[in-house]
Amino acid sequence: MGPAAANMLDTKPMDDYLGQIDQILQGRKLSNASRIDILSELKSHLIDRAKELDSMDGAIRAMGDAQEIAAQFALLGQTKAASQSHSPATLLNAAWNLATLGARGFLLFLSGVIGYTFALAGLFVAVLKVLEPSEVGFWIGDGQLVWGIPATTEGLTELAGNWFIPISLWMAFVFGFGTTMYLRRRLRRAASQHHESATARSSAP
Amino acid sequence: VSPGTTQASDPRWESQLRKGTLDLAILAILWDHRRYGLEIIRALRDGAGVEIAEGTLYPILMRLTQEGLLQSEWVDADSGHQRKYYRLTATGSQRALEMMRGWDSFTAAMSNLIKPMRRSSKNGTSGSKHA
Repeated sequence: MGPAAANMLDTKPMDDYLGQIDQILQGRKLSNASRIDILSELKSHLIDRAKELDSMDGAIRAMGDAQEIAAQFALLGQTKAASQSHSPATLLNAAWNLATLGARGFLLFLSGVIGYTFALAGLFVAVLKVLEPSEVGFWIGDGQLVWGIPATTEGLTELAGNWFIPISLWMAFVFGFGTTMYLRRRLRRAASQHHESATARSSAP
Repeated sequence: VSPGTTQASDPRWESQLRKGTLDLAILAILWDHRRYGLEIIRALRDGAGVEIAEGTLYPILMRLTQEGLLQSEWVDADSGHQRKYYRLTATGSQRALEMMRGWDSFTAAMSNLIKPMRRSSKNGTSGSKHA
């Protein structure tokens, strides 16, 4: 097929196809430069492939589902941004997006929520100890072990004293920092696994 | 489905196996020279029998680039449009060698494990002993 014939290929299906991908990529955590780079590469591929097959529709069919491809790029962009972030909101948001893709993602999101809840609880009781020093502490006795505020302090002994504040803050830091590092690492791995499974799915007979 | 009615041949298993080694295959294809996406797809298909939905290759290339294993550059092609070429970085070459060693070790162990199956297959006997 000569260049003249190649130029006569109908590019409207390609524009529609790339438009679908662009629509999904917009608003995700991808820079404009990355988005344009992705679309340019896919366009270059489609032009070459359409020349080979003498059919733009055939090239698009071989390329695969636009939504699936866009979702993989979006997830990659988002998990990359999240895996470099220290913001709990960004990390939990990325984990939630993974949660919508399967049980593993849901477990990751759940562990993030639990980890950050413990971190917040540590901060909360440390502040409460300043406000209500006689009510808040590490209470033991009567078959109970309470870190915080017991229903009643009757029959209980407080063990930590003022050390309760730095220990609670330290626990908050450990849970917060540990959860952040864990989410960052797992998000990087999860994105990679999702790509492998999506690739396998797309070509399984 | 009971074991008795399950099909003996499962093409999905082979497909999953090939996809599981996709990263290594891509790094191997880029080992000695740069290639663009469609060339990588052709090499996967012709060299390793791996057929993928072509669009799924590009997120993988993006991930490998983000991981620092590949670098890319746009090059003007004879066809009148630009193509994005990928090549291995030093880290990518190192990772490819590590994966190759892991692959060699795994395939050697598996070959050893299935040796009795090969013998039985040659003799035309089944390995399972039914009472």
